[in-house]
Amino acid sequence: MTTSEAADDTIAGLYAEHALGLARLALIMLGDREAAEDVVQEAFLGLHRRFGGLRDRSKALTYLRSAVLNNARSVLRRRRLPSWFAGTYEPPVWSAESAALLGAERREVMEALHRLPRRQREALVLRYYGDLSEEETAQVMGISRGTVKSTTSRALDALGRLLGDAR
Amino acid sequence: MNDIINRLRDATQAVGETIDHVPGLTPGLASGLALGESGEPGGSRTRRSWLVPVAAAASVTVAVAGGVAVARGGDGGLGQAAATGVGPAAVPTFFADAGEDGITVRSVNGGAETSRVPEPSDKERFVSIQAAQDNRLFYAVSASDDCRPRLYRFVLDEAGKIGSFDALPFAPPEGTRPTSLAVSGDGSKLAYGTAPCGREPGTGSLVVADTTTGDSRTWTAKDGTGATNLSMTADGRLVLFTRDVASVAAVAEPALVVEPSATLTAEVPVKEEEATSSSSPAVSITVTVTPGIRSDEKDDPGPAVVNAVPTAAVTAIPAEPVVTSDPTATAPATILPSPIPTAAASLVPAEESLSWCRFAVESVPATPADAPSAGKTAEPSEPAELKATVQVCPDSPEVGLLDTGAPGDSLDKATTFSLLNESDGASGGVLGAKISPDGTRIVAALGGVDVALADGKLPPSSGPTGLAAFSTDDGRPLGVFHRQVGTSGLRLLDIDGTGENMLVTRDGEIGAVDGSGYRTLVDTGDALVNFGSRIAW
Repeated sequence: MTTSEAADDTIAGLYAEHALGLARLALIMLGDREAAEDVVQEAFLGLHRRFGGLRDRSKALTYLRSAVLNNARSVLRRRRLPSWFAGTYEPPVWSAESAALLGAERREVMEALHRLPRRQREALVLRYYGDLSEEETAQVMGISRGTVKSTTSRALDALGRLLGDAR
Repeated sequence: MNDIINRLRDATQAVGETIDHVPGLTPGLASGLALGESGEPGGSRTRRSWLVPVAAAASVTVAVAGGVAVARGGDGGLGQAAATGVGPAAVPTFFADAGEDGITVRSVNGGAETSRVPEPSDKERFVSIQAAQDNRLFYAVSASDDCRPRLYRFVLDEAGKIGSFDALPFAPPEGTRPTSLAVSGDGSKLAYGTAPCGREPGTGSLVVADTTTGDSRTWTAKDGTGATNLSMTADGRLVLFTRDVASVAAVAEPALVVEPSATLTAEVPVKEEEATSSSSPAVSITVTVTPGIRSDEKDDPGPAVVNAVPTAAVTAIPAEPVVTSDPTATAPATILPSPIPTAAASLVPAEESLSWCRFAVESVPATPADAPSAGKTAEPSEPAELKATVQVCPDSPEVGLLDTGAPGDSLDKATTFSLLNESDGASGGVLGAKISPDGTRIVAALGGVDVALADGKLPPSSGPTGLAAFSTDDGRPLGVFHRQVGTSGLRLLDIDGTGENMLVTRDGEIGAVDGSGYRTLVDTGDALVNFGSRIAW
């Protein structure tokens, strides 16, 4: 087996194991399933391009999570361009218009989550949806562990205020 | 706190579980994230080149001219019924500009004039115009010689006819001169910048007024600089503006004389009037040649282009500010930085902020051999053809974003962004910046504009230009969504109520940019026309 084939196998294995989880993470950040799937594909393509420097599977997963967040940020930014350029996208799965009915209470949480600053939102999702440790979250976000701790704390306060306001 | 965490976990997991499988890995997936390009193939347009012959011993008058040249007249319908409700945001079917002949409304299909309102009087002129989101309700603001500006409102019917045209019962403060106007989506709020009127010292300010009650709120800057190039979000909460920093705009008045084989120095009076009514703090020049071939004959080949033999050098030095009310002097073109190899004349600005603006004039003797054109044979004594290159100064990249819902009355509280003059390959300076109706982005044209007044011996426009979006959160570039290569740069004039259609000017044309690219709306025939904020849709 050549190095390249080994890389393909490893990546295929990572995809089988983690693509669904990563797509869910992207969906929570974007609200749009199609965009979430694209973001995950893009992350795996990125991994493929730079696999030479990333042989450790645990690091590969950190890279993938990080890439998903980065790519999701790009998608969110692009949605601010005129729609004829950015393309159209479905309303978030948690919105009232969406077919995926989640209920008013969950919708309220998701809407509040998306009103938080980007970094706070990412920290909360990685910590409490992804169940990552502070250290893992720090690696994925490329920030220090202390910053994760303070950001998460501020984010919870802010989320609490937003949900309190909404009541 | 645990309750919040539990609710967060529950909601995110429920969202995540709406996906239960993913498609297989597709290695060939083209990057769906990469910003694509829209625009036109390079070189699809040829640069307009003008021949500007000059008669014997003629002086070249550098004056300011512009606006869409139209005859006065029309169906103003002053004093008719007031405006009523404003419809939802609509794709524009009309655009209106305020020029020397009042307000002209045109159809976006073919650019045909549909209606006209003359200027209120010969002492009062419209300085800015804006449309509400429905493209039917318009507002205009005027400046007058007696420093008593007024606000006007008019409504278009489905045929583009002005159904009612009224002065509002309230007006900007006396002693001010409005610089630029912006309107909220439903037309209930207006924002305008003001500058001191006349020679009196004063401060510039930004005013937001309720069109129903006339109640207003004013923001002033500590250093007295005002705001120009205003735009407003649909909800009327955010106002984007350019700081009116350099309160100088040099306009070469009929004093710049170019004679063959002569070196001279001309004074360029600074025309205060133009300093803020143009959208840019830059030097403003339009070249009109008299006597000689009129501008409407500029496409006539006339005497042939003569080889470039620089025989005249002109240095124009801005002098003390001179206030002039010459109504024919409007529409400045701004001038700018980039080396012009053939420059035999240059405008030397008095202000440091203008040091990057350039204006080049070259006067060349016309010889009979070089002028074979029938009926227009140049006599040996007939001196020169003027070659001039004017480059349009970019706006200041510094834009202010004012949250009108926040307390305070200081314009300094506005968030300031310095827009990168390079984004995603497009570069050259900011040529108009406007906020999108939803307030999420700032759209700016990036590029350079240069205009050849002679035979087009110009360095080609450098690099691609286009329309870029910037975040209103932090001014960060979001990408270039419209690109052009091989054309003169665009200037962004206005964004419609839907946020999807951009009114621009390029190469003397007024055009539109939307999802299908650029299209011409009307050719003004004047590559130097600068509408500032006197055009809207």
